[in-house]
Amino acid sequence: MDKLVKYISCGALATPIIILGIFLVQVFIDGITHINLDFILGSPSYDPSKMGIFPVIIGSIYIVGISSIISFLMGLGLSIYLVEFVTNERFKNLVYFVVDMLAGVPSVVYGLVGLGFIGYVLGAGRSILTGSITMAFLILPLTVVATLEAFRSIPESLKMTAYSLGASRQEVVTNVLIPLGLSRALTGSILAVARALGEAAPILVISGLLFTKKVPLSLLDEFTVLPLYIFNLVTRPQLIYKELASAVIIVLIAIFMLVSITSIYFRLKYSYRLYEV
Amino acid sequence: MIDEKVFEEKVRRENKFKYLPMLASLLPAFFFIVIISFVFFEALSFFQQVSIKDFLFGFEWSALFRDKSFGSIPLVWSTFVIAFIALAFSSLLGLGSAIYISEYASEKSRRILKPLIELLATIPTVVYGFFALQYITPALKIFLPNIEVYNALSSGIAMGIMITPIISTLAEDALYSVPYSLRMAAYSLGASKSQTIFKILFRAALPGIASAYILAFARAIGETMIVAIAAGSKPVFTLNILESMQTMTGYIAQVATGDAPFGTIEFFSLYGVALYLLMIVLGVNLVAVYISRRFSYLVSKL
Amino acid sequence: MVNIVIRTEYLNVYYGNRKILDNVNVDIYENSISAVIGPSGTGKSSFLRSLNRLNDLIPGAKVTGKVFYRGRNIYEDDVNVYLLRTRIGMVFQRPTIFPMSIYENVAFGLRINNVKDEDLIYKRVKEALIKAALWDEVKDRLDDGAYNLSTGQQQRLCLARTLAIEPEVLLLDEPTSYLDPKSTKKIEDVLLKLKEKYTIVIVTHSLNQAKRISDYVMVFMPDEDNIGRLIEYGPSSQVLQNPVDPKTREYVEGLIG
Repeated sequence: MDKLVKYISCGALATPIIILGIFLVQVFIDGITHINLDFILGSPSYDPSKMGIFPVIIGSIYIVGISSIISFLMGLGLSIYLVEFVTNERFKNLVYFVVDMLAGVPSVVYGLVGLGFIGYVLGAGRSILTGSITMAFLILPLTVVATLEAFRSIPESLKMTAYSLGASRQEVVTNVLIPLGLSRALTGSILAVARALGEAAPILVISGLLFTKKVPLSLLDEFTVLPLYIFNLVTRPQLIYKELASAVIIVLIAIFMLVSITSIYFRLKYSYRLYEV
Repeated sequence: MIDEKVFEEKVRRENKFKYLPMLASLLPAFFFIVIISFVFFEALSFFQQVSIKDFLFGFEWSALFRDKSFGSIPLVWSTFVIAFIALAFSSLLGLGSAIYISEYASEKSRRILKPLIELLATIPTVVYGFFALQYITPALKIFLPNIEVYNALSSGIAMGIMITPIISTLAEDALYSVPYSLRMAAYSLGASKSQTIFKILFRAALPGIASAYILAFARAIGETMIVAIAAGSKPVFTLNILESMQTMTGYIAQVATGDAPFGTIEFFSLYGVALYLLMIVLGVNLVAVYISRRFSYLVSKL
Repeated sequence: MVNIVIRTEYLNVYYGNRKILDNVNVDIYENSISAVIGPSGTGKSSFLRSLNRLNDLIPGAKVTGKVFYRGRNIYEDDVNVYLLRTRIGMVFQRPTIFPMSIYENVAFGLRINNVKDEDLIYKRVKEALIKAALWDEVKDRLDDGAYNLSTGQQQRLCLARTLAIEPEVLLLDEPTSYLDPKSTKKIEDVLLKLKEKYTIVIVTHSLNQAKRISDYVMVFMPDEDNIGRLIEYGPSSQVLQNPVDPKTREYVEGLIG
């Protein structure tokens, strides 16, 4: 009986992994032939044989880059405040609750609010700026989790030591919390970056564009992102589009791996070993 | 050696410093309020033209046609049907994975498997939609030749795989955090591993597992891209999961890609549906939070 | 006439609703070593933390009464607590080294207090390490990570770190609890030497340690409500050999605590 449960549960674990594994292999096979320099640097076109995705890549980089930075800073500030400045447990729980609620809002609703409030009311338009700010709040719960966990793991004794040497709260934050917690916070934020890279629904609403030949240059430009372009390609019946969509998926995965590897590199370079007696 | 002025400076800085982090912790609340109020106010414009009763209880949704009707039941129904399909798949796969990782896997395997499952969760939902349309539907067509190109079942399955990591990680956390003393007690009474799991651990971890299911369900309800790609744009009220259906999120995606000029009723219908969706999702989330808080004291008392 | 460096008057410490210490009145004399002894949980560490206002940082901690440092009540509103903590330094039970080099650990206090002159920093670090009897052991590897040191060396490093900012008073909370006898002896020798320039208050669980190094002894005991009280203090020779209070006698003779 025990063995049975073990095998069934192992099977349950393996099933999605294997299914998706096969899927991704097939995607790779379908798409790899389309990936070349012209594809990456070229412009989208209505002729599938001349397809390029450069403006879309730029759009994604803008959105992911800006929203990650904004969200990380917000998460950083919030975690520092809750870990070092707040002693009232009720307030802390309230903040956690609000962050949980934010995490529950459907991504498409973020898009609607982003478009309506930031785009129209605040006047930023259907631009990269609107998209980035909206995305920053969407991934905020993930950056909060990462930064909180990083700062909570710093031993109280080290902070006490700094205080006993005459440090002010601000100095403890800059000289103890941040140097010791930053690398962990950054690696934890990888999930947030992945989310920003892959989210299509909010950008769909905010930008409205599934296709653009224009490379976005300023923050107020219109744009589209890689997952949205996949959406565009996927809805077309011809086989060539299935392959092109696969190719864009490969590019998306490649960008994500690049970001992960960079973050792991930084983590290894700057990690401190906390040696406790 | 240490300048006296340094200390006055510290006091001065201390008073000013806390404002920036304080601001950062108020921003989430601020934006949450913005979300709720904004959706609410835009939806008000919608409900000035469409009665709430017609909206909530109407069976006909034809918002984009000449003769408009705004009965939301088809959208809501489709949303729940697909979410239930997803939950049906993920509940077994997710729980099974959680059991394996928590109870059977070695520490070494655990360290590989946990991140692997979490990696699944980072796959963009468009990719799942692609998977549903181009892989699942053709595969299902072999067994179910009546299946439409856009249908609920494929979307549901893909969504199920997508939310499996949510159930898996949360349920695994719940199982893992059951105190070892409980397992010890069971084993020392001669219980086998599977008996311990099903009779003891499940009971103890039940609040965590239940809230995992509920949270995954909420996620499924709010998901857009999979259904936009694979489920279709026909708002119908049917139990036939081989047919195409349109969910609340699917409708929003459709109108957003189309041309709904600002101020038209189509535009405001977006916010009406969004408000409804938001309330459902947040409500479900609150239930999950309530369950895990209200009942987890049972474990802490042990 | 020996100067009083610290005097407490009606010092009470509360954590939330629980009272930890009741009515402590004591004088601490310049250039002496005062040992604080008593069973666990009688508020000895809380007492120490009240002397440099480190209790301020513990949520829910409240201190009433007065603590005079060089004649001034440190709990008055206009006292600069950061300055205070550089004058009254603290070493904890477990070595709390930062994940940095040996040099940077000792320099930490100087850097956060805005000392920028690298030559001056080097001078102070060297002096501090010499005073803590660690210089000879580390002078060739100042840039090594501090975590490579043995526990005893780490604790001396913590002492050096505090000494680097040139405090006047040293508070030590059971600094040798986790050390082997050889390291313990090294630290005790250091303290005896430091006493010439510094005023030292040391919490210790070891009566023998108190006998070996202290000039004065303070005895803390729990009362019926488990609140810590200072039941006796005076010169060590007197308190340890001829205690006045019967509870002290019981403790010193090893019958309780």
